[in-house]
This record gives sequence, structure tokens and C-alpha cells, in this order.
Amino acid sequence: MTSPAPFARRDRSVPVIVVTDKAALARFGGRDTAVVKLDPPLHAHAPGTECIACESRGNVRVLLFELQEKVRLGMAEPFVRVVVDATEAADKDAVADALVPGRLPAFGLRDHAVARNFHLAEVV
Amino acid sequence: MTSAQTIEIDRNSLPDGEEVRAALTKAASERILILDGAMGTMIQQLKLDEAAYRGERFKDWHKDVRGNNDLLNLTQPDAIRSIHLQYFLAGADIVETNTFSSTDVVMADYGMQELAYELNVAGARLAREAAQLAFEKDGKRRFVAGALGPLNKTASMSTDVTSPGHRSITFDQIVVGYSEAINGLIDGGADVLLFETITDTLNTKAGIFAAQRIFAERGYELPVMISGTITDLSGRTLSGQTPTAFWYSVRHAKPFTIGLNCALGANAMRAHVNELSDVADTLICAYPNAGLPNEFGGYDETPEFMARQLEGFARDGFLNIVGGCCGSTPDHIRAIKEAVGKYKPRRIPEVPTLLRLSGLEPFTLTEDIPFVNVGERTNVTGSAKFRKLITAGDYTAALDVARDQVQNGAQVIDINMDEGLIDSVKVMTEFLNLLAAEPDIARVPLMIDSSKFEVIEAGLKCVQGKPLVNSISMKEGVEKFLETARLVRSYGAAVVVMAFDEQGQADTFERKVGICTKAYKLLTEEVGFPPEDIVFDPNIFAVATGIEEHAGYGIAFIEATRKIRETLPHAHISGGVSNLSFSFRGNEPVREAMHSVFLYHAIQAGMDMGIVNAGQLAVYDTLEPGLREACEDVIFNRRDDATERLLEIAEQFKGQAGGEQKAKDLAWRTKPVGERISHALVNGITEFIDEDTEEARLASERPLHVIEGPLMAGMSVVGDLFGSGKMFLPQVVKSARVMKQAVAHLLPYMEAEKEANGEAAGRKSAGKILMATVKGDVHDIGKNIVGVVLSCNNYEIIDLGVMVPTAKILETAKAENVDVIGLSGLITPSLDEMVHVASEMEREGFTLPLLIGGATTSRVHTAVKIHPQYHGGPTVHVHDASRAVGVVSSLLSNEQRPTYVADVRAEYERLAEKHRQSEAEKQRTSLAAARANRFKPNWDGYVPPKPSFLGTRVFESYDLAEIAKYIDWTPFFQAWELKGRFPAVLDDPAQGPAARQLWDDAQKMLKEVIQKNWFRPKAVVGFWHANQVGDDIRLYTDEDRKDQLATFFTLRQQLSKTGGKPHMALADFVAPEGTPDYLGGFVVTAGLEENVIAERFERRNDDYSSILIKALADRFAEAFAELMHERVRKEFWGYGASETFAPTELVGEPYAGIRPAPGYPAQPDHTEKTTLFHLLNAKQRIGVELTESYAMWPGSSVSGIYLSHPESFYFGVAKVERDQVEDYARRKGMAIREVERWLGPILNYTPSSGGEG
Repeated sequence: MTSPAPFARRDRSVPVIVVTDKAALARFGGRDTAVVKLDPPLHAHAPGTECIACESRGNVRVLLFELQEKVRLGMAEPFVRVVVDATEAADKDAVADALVPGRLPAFGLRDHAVARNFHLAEVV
Repeated sequence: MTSAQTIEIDRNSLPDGEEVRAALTKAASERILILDGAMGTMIQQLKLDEAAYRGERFKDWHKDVRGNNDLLNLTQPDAIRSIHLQYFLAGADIVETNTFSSTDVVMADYGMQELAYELNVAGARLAREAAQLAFEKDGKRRFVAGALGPLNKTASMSTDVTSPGHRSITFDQIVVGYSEAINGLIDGGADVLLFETITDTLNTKAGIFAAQRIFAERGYELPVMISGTITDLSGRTLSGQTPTAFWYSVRHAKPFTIGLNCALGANAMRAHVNELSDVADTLICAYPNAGLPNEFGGYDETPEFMARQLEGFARDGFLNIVGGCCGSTPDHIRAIKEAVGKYKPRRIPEVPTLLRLSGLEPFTLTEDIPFVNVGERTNVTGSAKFRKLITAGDYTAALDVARDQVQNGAQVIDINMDEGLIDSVKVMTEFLNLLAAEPDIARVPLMIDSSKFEVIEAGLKCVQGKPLVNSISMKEGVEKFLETARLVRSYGAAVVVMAFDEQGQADTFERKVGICTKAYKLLTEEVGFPPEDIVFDPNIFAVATGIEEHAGYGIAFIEATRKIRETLPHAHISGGVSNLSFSFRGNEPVREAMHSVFLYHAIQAGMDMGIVNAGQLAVYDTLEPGLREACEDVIFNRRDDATERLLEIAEQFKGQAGGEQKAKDLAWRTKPVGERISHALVNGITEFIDEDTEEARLASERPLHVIEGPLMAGMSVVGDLFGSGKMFLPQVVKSARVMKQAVAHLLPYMEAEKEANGEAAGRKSAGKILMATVKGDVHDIGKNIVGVVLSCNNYEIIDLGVMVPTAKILETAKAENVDVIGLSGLITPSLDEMVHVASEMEREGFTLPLLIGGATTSRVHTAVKIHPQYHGGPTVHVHDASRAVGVVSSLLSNEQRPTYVADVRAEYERLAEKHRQSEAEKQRTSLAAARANRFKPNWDGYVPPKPSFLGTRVFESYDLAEIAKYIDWTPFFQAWELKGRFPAVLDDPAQGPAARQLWDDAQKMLKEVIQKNWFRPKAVVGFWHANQVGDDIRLYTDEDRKDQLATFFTLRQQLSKTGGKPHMALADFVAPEGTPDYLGGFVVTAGLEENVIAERFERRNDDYSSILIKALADRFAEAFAELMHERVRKEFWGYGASETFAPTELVGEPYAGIRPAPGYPAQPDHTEKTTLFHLLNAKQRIGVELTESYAMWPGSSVSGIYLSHPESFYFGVAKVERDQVEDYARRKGMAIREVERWLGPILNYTPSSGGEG
């Protein structure tokens, strides 16, 4: 079957800037910007077998979904862009890959939600 | 290669499911049962190598098998049996078989799909043998739970976000896989089936389907346990459901337990187990991981630590069965058994018998929902637009139609693909698979609608929630009906049953009731269908067709509805209303009128669900009376010429668009006076009310009789319409305006009558209610609205206005002998003031009910702080105006009051207890540690921008039209309790008409405000030299920065933080000494005029306009603040141009800097306004002053400070600790007790009474 491309709606999706360079981090912030920091994993995993404990602190999709849920529940301020602090992420390339539709598989509904509501704007 | 071996099964030696259930139920009623701990962790400790995994049988297997723990059932059986035995001897009542991955789907990874059945048999036998060994040792009975783990493929979503409709596995494939596993577990001797670590509810629904089919084939059932996994901190399963929605989806399995396992440890699981414990009418089972894995993938949580956490679950009554998941060992189980042993098992709550559906979120049809409007635009038979999109294959646009319905408030959406030219099964599947990937649509339950059961079944295989099926019937006989009903039940859906049998669709009252009654008996007695999951559709047929037999169709439906609701408990009634007016196709006004009249009566008779286009439905009471009467004649079959008369009237409406009634349609003026008054009240028309009231007075014996007669009758119609959600707040307030005018007209006559014969002229009211905004607070929009709504319901309101001292409230209450006291407030210090009023009421021995309302009030605050202060009478938090009438009438009714008050008390005590516990569990940080983790922007090389002027400047006589451009309208509609965002709220199917009318009125008034310059907005803005000193912002008189001008004190977050996030204070955004920085401040006001204008309206008995002007003034103040902030960034401070964001990267306005206000989350201390007002000299310069509670007067004012740092953002300080309060008091030179008073709502401790703390 032919599928629509729901994430084609750029106008409604939130730009995500992934920052991997510590020095550049200070340039970003300000009103309406949410900052998400990716923490390194707790322990080593075989590729593609990350446990949920490590995901909950270092998986960019998990953290973006949670951020969005928090805003929906009134527990965080709304934002118009997100800066992802990936300076300590284990695999920096994987962070951008996770935000490009189709590059990495979806494991949960949140991955679909993130694909619909966010897009990679820039990697710094 | 070795493939599966033949296994001998002695079926006579297998456990008896009924006996097992009885034994487990009995044991679970006596104590908390113990489940085992992790199998994987124990296997890991054995450090088995590849050869050990392979054993002799698989030594030449073509793939590596190390890590395939389930294979050890065949290759290392002694080791697995020994682990089970260790758990039994450590205290486990139940162990799980080592079969977590033993399905063909998962085993395919090792090429071992053929072994699935054998692995399950072997796994169950090993656990069975261990149970026997343990029994021989100590004589205690043990149980074996056959573990059915998750699959590595999901039926409810795609693994590729670019192809959301794709599925790597189907429902049917999962049924096959789980069937094999279940058969193996049963044949191996499992006592119980346990679906665990569920990440995809649809997979598990297929597993339940498989289990039920096997039970039916075998003729006996085993108890089923179901255990989900909440992976997100936000509390959802991987497939996106909340715990309650998950429970509703699997409840049809009638599981022996529901619960959670695995995930992020006991603490993270607690709230979710609590949620399930509240909603599930079965046993609760929880077995979390032993905390989080460490850097080596092991778990550090000690047995004692884990046991202590789970002991908390037991103490709070959440647990029936408990154990451990990853990382737990026999030592953990021993410690857990020891810890929970002293607590009683959770008591299963009684859950009301209500229809409960789910999408990603739960939906319950409670009594508060008079009518479920099923969204019907995703129905190809009902919507030409949707049909075109579907036949063209434009699923993206078709999904937008679904999304719009949900956004516009549809609680359930109907999906129908019955179109002759399309493959309905295929399209239903594709569309539902795509829909499942849209969280904003999939959150509501679906109604899967088709006349072909194969299409329905295809749909049922795609949804993880609990849907409604529309519909099944006895059209093809009882046997077929029972078969489809059993299938629907196996898929876990509720069902619409059409009144249809082999003779055809039921058309008379007798046939409708007869068929529904028969179906009800078959469903509840033979299928075991829960009655609350049955919705009858007794057929709405076209009337006024000219065929005599059709004349009774309308009344037959309505009367059948009434009878069915009376005689078939818990069942519901639905119907497709548009059929009714089929013969008037092309004449929309008449069709809408017929639908409206029909629904009005059918809902009263008990119809509680329907497929209706709400956007095209006239309000019953606004119908042209002649048309309405003609419709009623037809629907009730009241006269022989009913159809002819309706046809005649219909001619007049031909060619008109439907929807809104013609404004100048004055036909209602020809009605009798009582009906005219009622019409005026319902429609809020003041134009003729004086003459009508006068006419009624002349016809009455006494003027009072006009009030007690036609006026009250009309208002009770308004009250009913509002209560049933058919009128909205702005309309009710307009009705009240009509009422007030009428009463004002009568008053002089009543006075004259009183003078003439000395008689009391007072009328009988339903109760006297005193309302006041508490001392120090000036906000009264919400309070005024509640007052109007109550007065519409015949309550007498004594409104003491704003800033009312406690003594005045209590004196008036006594002098006027009121029945209820209602307090309102908007700013946080008012919360304290309310506590004070409550304690004074207690001291003076009051017993009256006390109502609490207003934006900062909450149920929790009322429960925790106000309720405990006042024992003499009930304290009730009233969330919004629409609840007020229900609360007051319950409180003043002799019959309802005792239960109502007891319920509220119990609820508040539970809330207070919960609050106390959650506060105790929150980890906080010491002030020193928080400061050490302050937010540190890189100040090196950062040059803070310098404002274009220093000191203050006043802005007056601003162009109102310019300010109006900055108005954010969403809060305006919220003030009127119209929910949703602007402008979408204008098109809402239910609220739309009310919202549009309100919008028109607001625009009209706005125009007048602008043209006549009603408001005189003023602003004062200032900038000062400033630097950060510790947690404070110090202001200096000049650039030398030697002489201090003032200090803004700021509060620092002390909540526990993860991921290296800093503990924020506003001072962090200002440069430390050595780097010249600046701070701005402002006060803006819409002006004093609003009160003068509002009073003028009130004197004219026009509360509607009075509330409207206040709501507008409030919007003007906010808009003015927004406008000034823009000018500050662009001109006065001017840093706006230096922002470095490339516009293409970003959406929306990328401006830097914030304008936080004292009293709001970033600085919750209202007293800081004193400094701001003093610096700006706001009282002298623009006439804004502070009350004793630091509210601003005039009320429509906004103040705050400006911060320019590009990284500054809004945050919430949340709770603070005693160490910070002491430090803050010292810095500020304020007594600790004083600080504690103002920070009351954010203190994370109970201040000691008296003394200085």
C-alpha cells in the first residue's frame, strides 16, 4: 500500500538543533527554547539492544516525547525549538539518525509521535 | 540438525483450572502472595558458555544460541529446576516458567521456531517438578505460572515512521504463535497463564484471543494473569496507552490479576500501580526490576532496599501479589516476603458498572455525560467528503478529518468503510493501521462500523484499545448472533446491537422492546456479555413520508428507549438520527429542526449515544415555534394531518441554509405570553421583556406570581439545558440578564403592594448564598459568573464584592442567615486568606457549607489546607461554574447532603494523605547544594546589552486599536468556560454557536471600547544598573555601581534534578559583579475605567456586559504588556536585533529575554512587587497600587521585571526548604514567620506555629 508522509508537515513540526560541540552550546538557549541533555548510557550494550533504563536517559526520541508530554500536562513551558545537548552522548551520529525519518526503526508509538512533531534542523 | 521431538502428554494429570483458581483466590484473600524473582539474573550467575547452551542435542546447530535462556529447559534442565526450587524455598508461592521467549516469533531469531511448543512443555514441567520437590520438603502448595513474554514484533504499529501503515506481524499470526505456546504450557502442567512485560496491548489481545479459543476447545479454563510494562516516565506503555486504558483493553480476559513488571524499578512504578489499584476490580500483581542496571549491566539494589520500597506498596494497600523482575534473586524474594508479610492484601474495590472504552486513553460513560456524540465524519456512508478521500486513496486528508473530529471534542469516532466500489476489509485495515500511528487521534476510542461482520473483524484486529462494534443483530438468526457476539467479546469490544431479527428490522414499540430484551438475555446469560457493554440501536426510521405505517416510527423509538432503559439495566441506547428526516432531503432547516426535536425527547427518554452532526443541529428552544410544534406533531404522531402541516411549513424554509435562526424572525411574538417569556430567557433576548413582563403582571393576581410562574419556569428550562450541556456559560449569563430586567420591572409593583398591605413581598428562593472575593484580592470575573449561574437556578445571591475582610463575611452570613458561603480568589496569598476565613468560621462555631473557588485554588489545596481548619461544616472545592449548581443543590438537599458530605470528606482525607506521602517521598536538595549547581552561563566575553535609557518612563494615551492586535483570545474563552484554543473553539461542534455569539458580542464591545476610548491604558517602564550578588539582583544608582539603589531577592529551586540540570534562580540570568549588566521593570494597566463601566452595566441589570468588559480589560492589560515587551526588546533595550538565530531554522518568533512577574512560578514571592512598585513609583505615575495581599488595583494590570540574557527562560521554583526560607528572610530583613506566610503555598515543610521558626 502507499503510505502518506505525515511528517511532511514541516510547518507544524518543531525544529531540533543537535549540538555535539561543547563550545557551541552556549550560543543556544533563550525564551521558547527547550534544552534536552542526553546522558551517557549506564553500561555497555550490544548494538540495537539498549535497555530501557539507559534509553530513559540517553535516547533522544524518548526524551523529546517526554518533553512534549510534560508540556501537554502543563508540567513544562511550551517551546518553539529544542536544543539537544549531545555533547556526552555515546554515539553522536545515532542522535541525528534517530531524528531522520526512516533511518532507525521505531520501537514504540512515541517514535511515531516524535517523527510527526519534531524535525532535525541542524547539527552543530 | 535436530528439530522438535514428539512429546507424550497425560491430560488426566494436568491441573484443574477451577480448583487452582479457588485455591489461589482463597490464599490471596488471606495474605499477599509471593511471586518469584528474575530467571535471567540467576542464569547469568551460572556463566554458561556456548557449549553448555547447546548441550548434546544442539551441538551442531547452525546458529549461535548462547543467550537463548529458554533453550536451557532442554539442555540444562537441572539448572533451571534448581533455580525454581531456590525461589520456592525463598518463599515464592508462584514461579514463572522459563519460557519468556518461547514463541515461534521470537525463537525464529535462533532458527528454532519449530521448538516453541516443546520448550513450553519442558518449561512448565521443570517448574512443576520444582513445586513438587518444595512440597515434599515443607508440605506447602506451590503454583506454576506459564510465562508468555512479549514478541519482538508489534501488531499495533510500524517499525518505520516513514511507512506508518506497515506491520511486520498480523493479529492472526500472533494468535497462531501464542496458541502454540499456550498449548505447550497447559500440556506441561502450568496452573496459570501469565502474559508479562507487555509492551504492545494489541499483541496481548491476540494472546487473550488465543487463550480463550483454547479454553473453549479444551472445555476448561486456567486463571490468566496480565502484566504490562510502563517504559516512559510519562506513564505510558511502549504502544502509547495509559495504565487505565491498558486495563480497559484487556479487562475482557477477566484476568485473575492485572499489574506491572520490569521497567525502571519500584519507585518509578509506584504511581502506575496505584492507578491500576484504584480502577481494577481484580487482584493487583507487581514485580519491578531491582532498580536500574549499573555500568556492568548488573543491578545494585539490595534485597533490603527493594523490600523496603515494596513494603510501601503493601502498606498503602496496592498489593495482592508481589515479586521481582530483572536483577532480583532468591534473597530479594526472601526479603520482600518478610517485608510485606505483616500487611493485609489489597481489598478489591467496587467499580461502578459503567461503559468503559479506551483508545490510548480511557473513556468512561458516567452520569456526568448526558449524551455521547459519536463523531460521524469518518463514515463513507455519512460524509461525501470522506467517501471521496477514501475512494481516491488520500489517507492523509482522511486522517485530518479524523483529527478534526477529535480536536473538536468527539469522545468516540465512528469509522465506516461500507462503499460498494472499495475493498472494505482492506481499506478498514489500512486506515486503522495508519490511524494507530497518530497519537492525537488514537487517544479516543473507536466505533468500528460496518454492515459486514468480516469488515468489523478486520477492524477489531487493528485496535489496541477497547472499541465499540456497530453493529450485530439477530438478522441471520440466534445462532449467528451468538457466534458474532462471542467473537466481539473475544476481541474485547463493546457492542451496538441493532433491533433486527429474521423477520426484519423492528418498527413498532413491541418489536423493538421484544428483540432488544431477547438479545439482552442471550448476551448476558449465554455469552456472558457485561450489560454495560451493550448499546441497543432500536432503529430510527424516516417519518412524514406520506405512508401511513411510518407515522408511528418516531414515538415508537422514543417509547422503546424509555422501556429498554427501565427494564434492561446498564444497557445503553444509540441511533443514527439523520434517517428520521429522510423525506426532507434538500431542506436543511427542517431536517435540523426534526433532529433537534427528536433528540430532545429521545435523550430525556434515555438515549445516551448517537451519531449526530453536532455542527448542524439547531438548539431545541431556538426553533421557530410553529416549526417545532409541527415536528413534534410528526414525531409523536399527534394528529392525522401532521405530515401535511409539516410539509406546508417546510415550504417556507426551502432554500434556506440551515443552522442559525434568522435574527429578525419574530414568529415567536405571536405565542402566549408565558411562552414568549420563556423564549426570551432561553435566547437571551431583552428587547421585549419589559412589555411581556408587564402583560404577564396584568394577567396575574400579584406581581410575585410572574416571578414564581413564567419567569422561574423559563429559568428552569435554562438550568436544565445548561446542566445537560446544551447551553453554554455565555448564553446562560445572557438569560440571567433577561431575568434581572424582568424582575427589575416588577420590583416597584412589589414594593407598592408591600406598602399597601404590609405583606412581605419576598419570593421563595432555593437557598441564600453569600459570595465574596477575599481580603487583598480584586479579581471577580469567576465569582460573578458563578453568582449568575446560581441565581439562574433560583438561588438568592448576596455578593459582597472584592477585598472583603473575614469579619464582614461572617457578620453578613449571620445577619442574612445565609445557607452557604462561597469564597473566591485569584492570587496565591488569597489561599492563605481562605484558610483564615475557614479557621474563623470554626472558632465562631459555624456549621454552614464553605465553597472554595478561583484560579489558584485546587482540590488538593482545599483538602490539605482549608478542609482541616473547619470541622463545623463541609468545605468543598468548586472547580468551575458548571459544577456550582450540582454542589450547592447536593449540600442543601436533606436527602443528598449526608452522603455527599461524607463522600467529599473521605475524598479530601484520601487526597491529603496522598499529598502527604508524595511530599514525603520527594527528594529535595539543600540550599548549599542547589547553589553549587546554579545555572552558570558563560560570562567570559559576554557583553550584556545596555538599555537606551536608565531610570523610568511613562507611556500614556496609547492607541487602543494597536494594543488590540496583541490580544491572545484563548484565555478570554477560557474565562467563559469554553474550552479549546482560539480560533478552533469557534468551529467546535458543541460549543461553536455559543463561542461565535460570544465572539461577536466581544468584537462589538471591542469596537466600542476602541471608538469611544473607554480604556486609558498606561505603562511605566524602567531600567537600572544591576548585578547578580549571590541569589539576589542588586540595583545601583549609577554606572560606578557603588551606591545601592535596591535589591530584588530571588528564590532558588530545590527540587531534585537529574541529567545535570541546574537549580535555577532568576538572579542567575544577571551578570555577576565586574560585568556591567542591567535589569528592567514594568507595570502596565488597562486603567481604572473598567470598574466604572462594569458598574454602569450592573446598574442596568446587565451582568453579561459587565463580565464581558472585565474580561476584555484583562485581555487589554496582557496585550499591552506583550506590546511593551516587544518595544523593550526592539527599541528601549534594543538587544532584539543582535539575536544570532537564523530565521530559517526556527519557527515562531525567536526572541530572547523574559518578563517574569513576582507571584508567579519563577519568583513566587508576591512581596517583591513592593520593590518594583517603589522603583517605578507606579502609584503616583500611573495609578496602580498594591493591596495588603499584593494584588494590583485596578485588577487589569500586569507587572514584572525584564531580563535580557539570551539563555533566560521561564521556570518554576516549586517547593522550597526551611534552610532557604531562613536564608531568604535574613537577606530580605524580614521575619521568618512573615516569609513563611507569603511563601505558604510553596513551603516544603510545616512551619512551626508561633516563634521565629
